Amino acid sequence: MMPLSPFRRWMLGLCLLGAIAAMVLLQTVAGSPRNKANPADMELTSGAVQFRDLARANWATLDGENKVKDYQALRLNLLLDSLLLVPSYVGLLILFTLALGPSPQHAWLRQCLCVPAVAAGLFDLAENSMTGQALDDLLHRSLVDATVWDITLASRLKWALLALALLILTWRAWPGLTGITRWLAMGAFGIGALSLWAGAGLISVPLLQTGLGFMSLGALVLSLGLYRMR
Amino acid sequence: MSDDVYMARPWPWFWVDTIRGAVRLTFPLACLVIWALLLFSPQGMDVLRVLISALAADEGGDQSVSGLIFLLASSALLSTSVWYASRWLLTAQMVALPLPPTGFFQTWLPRTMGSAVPLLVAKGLHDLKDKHGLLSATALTDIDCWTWGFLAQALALLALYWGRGHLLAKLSKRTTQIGISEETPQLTRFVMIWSVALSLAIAALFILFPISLPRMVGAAAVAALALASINLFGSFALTYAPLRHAMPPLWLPLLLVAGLVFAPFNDNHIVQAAADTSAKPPPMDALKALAKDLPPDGITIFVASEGGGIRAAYWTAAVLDALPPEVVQRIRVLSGVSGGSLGVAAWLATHRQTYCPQMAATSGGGVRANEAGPPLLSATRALSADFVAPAVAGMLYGDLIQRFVPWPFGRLDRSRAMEGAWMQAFEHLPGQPFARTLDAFYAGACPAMPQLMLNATRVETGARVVLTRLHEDQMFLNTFDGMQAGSDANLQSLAGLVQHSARFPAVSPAGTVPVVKPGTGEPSGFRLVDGGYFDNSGVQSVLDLIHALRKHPEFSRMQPLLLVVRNTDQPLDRPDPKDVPVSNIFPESRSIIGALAGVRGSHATTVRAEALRELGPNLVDALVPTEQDVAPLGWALSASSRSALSRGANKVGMDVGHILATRIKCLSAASSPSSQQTKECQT
Repeated sequence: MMPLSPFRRWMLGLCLLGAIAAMVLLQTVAGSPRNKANPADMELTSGAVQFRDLARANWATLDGENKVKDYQALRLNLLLDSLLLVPSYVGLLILFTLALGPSPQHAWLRQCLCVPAVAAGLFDLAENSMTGQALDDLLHRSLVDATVWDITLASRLKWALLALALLILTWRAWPGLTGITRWLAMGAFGIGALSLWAGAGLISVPLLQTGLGFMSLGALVLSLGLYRMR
Repeated sequence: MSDDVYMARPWPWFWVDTIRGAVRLTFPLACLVIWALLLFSPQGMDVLRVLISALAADEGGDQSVSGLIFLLASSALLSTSVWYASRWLLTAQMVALPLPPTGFFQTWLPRTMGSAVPLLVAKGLHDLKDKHGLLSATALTDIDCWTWGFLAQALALLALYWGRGHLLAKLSKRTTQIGISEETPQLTRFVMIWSVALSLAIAALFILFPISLPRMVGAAAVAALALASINLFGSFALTYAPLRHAMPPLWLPLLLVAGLVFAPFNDNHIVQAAADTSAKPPPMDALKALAKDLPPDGITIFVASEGGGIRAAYWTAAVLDALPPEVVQRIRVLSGVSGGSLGVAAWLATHRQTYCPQMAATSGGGVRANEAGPPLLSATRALSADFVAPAVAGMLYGDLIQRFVPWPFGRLDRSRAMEGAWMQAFEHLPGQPFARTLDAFYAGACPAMPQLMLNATRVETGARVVLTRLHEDQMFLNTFDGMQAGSDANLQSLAGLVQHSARFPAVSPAGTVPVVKPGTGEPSGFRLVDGGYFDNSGVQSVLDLIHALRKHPEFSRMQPLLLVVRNTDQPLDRPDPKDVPVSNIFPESRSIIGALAGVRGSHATTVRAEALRELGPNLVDALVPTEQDVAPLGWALSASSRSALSRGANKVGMDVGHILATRIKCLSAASSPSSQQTKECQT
């Protein structure tokens, strides 16, 4: 593993801060008004009816007649996710991949290994955008199954690409790290990758959450390792 | 060759340098010009109006700021792409197109071009206030805020471009000019390749999600993103790289290869069959159905709807919606062209139960926030969806990429994105009529259900093509039978058939229809374009049909009434009084093009005049009032344009309904005349 340049150390700090802030805000300010729901539940539904029911049960603002007035909480959640969490986790994954990547003689390979992380971020943005469109359709026109299937496909591809990015980190952690950091990072990223892959394949939110947990653990371990190295 | 040669340059070199610079900057300049043209077109202005209407919550419900955020982000990306590409194209020295060392122009031209992108958006938003009658007070305030927002973005980006150069100059890391023998810095190469790779990734997203994603991002942001991608690829891969390696720019040979070598093999506009092509039970023969349920007094209403994009579609549906029930019950034929075809098909799809109540038994798809069952949306509500964004995304991503690939991929056809958007907009209706074939549309229907005639034009001969179930020899004069046996048009969905009629230039490409086992001398396929090329009124097909039916013994008692739903406020049967002055600019070539284009409108006027001469007071004209003639000729309408059209349509629909009801009374009275009624009818 190569020590980080001062610029990359700053970027790593910023990305970590951004990711932690995003996760806190998504659970508090932009969280579901009811039931502590996760937007992932809706993004992996099988059709328009289920999407509508989950949106109403967990995210809708209701008026006096118990009718849906708007979905501002979910819109804020999607906006924060797109503007803060996505850039932060993509930034972290790129920094980790570059730090653990092959030697500078293989500069192009190092760049190529970052592709899954960037693609996962793009699919996440597309998924959030299409979820916003689905909410518009629910309120103003009519939400059809095809729109929900698009969201589900984008979501599954995002998780699969994220699993691939973690798999690359697991592979690169073997030659790039030493000691306990190596085993902790490899374990966390490896289990995370498998959980995310299985979650995307089986459309299982608990598996995806497990994967995210291990991904966060791996990110913390690797960040500490990188900061200790000067 | 030494770079010093170009240090001292006399005046004539200015022109040489300008031409060399312009060749280097082909893509950034072209993208900037296209961006301006798109923004300031009527459709572009209405797209901006859509974003402001959504923000002002003109439709009620959530305020949606996402469209403007996407436009802000994509305008920043296009700006950066134009600036970065121009900067390197002017900074690096190239053997074939050398320029003097970096000076004022090389530094400030890219910065100015980059910051022009958000400036143009700010100007477009500001110009929206010229038609302020269309917008609410909240929307006017929003326009001011966002105009300042885009101005601020332009200034911020200019400051960033300037500050970056200033900082690098202080750090002595600024690259003034890369010599011919020097390599492009590795960081720059990474940025170039990553930007092209990201452009391709975004293209993949728009190809994978051709309807949902463009509709959310919005047409303006899609165009900005696509232009940014095209600029990056064109500037770096097709201009910078070859010029740095002493080769000419590659875009011209690539265009020639695409147009001459690949084009015969990569036609991806071949029509696709509907998901379910079986019609159960088989529908009754259209002519027999028409004869069977002719009103007892024989008074039958024919509707012809003019073309004109989404404006015509919305106007047609809104006028027909406002007609009284006694008039609606007598409509038996709906003829449409272009947007008019979408209008009549949409209206009929939402009124099938009016004619055939038993069709209500099947349920539709789609859900709404506050309704338990499938939503009951009017045709105009369904037509309020954004159809332009999928078309723009399809044109600037999928179809553009297809032109440079030698094998055809149907998924990249932008017509399919448009058809898909129409199908989704009407998926809430029982039986999803837009996704079924014409036969399936009429399967199980009662004879009273009006017959659709969707008019298109055949590319190879210029002949009119009437896509309908009303088939009989010599029924339509000088037409090509697009629904002949073996034609794949029979397998297409209603959305696909409407698309043929509404393939207006550039937005939708010509559709290729294969014919299975053609007869001797028959073509093995044909191409269809918009029906407006031949007759933009739809009246010619109605007249042909009336003539043919009159010869039929079963229709001897038929008394036709023709309702012409217009898309302009021009006179029905004579040329527009606002005459076009004689132009002396390129008089020879312009005369040819001008006459060819003018004939189209003039032909429709002749056809309408002929119908008026033949039908007299039995032809009723529903034209758009001047004050409502504000909506653009594209495929998306803002809430404010829709409400202006709806207001006009309600009034016109009621007036026209009254006139038609009076004509019905008069025609009924003609068979048993009473002196009082005859007098009323004469006046």
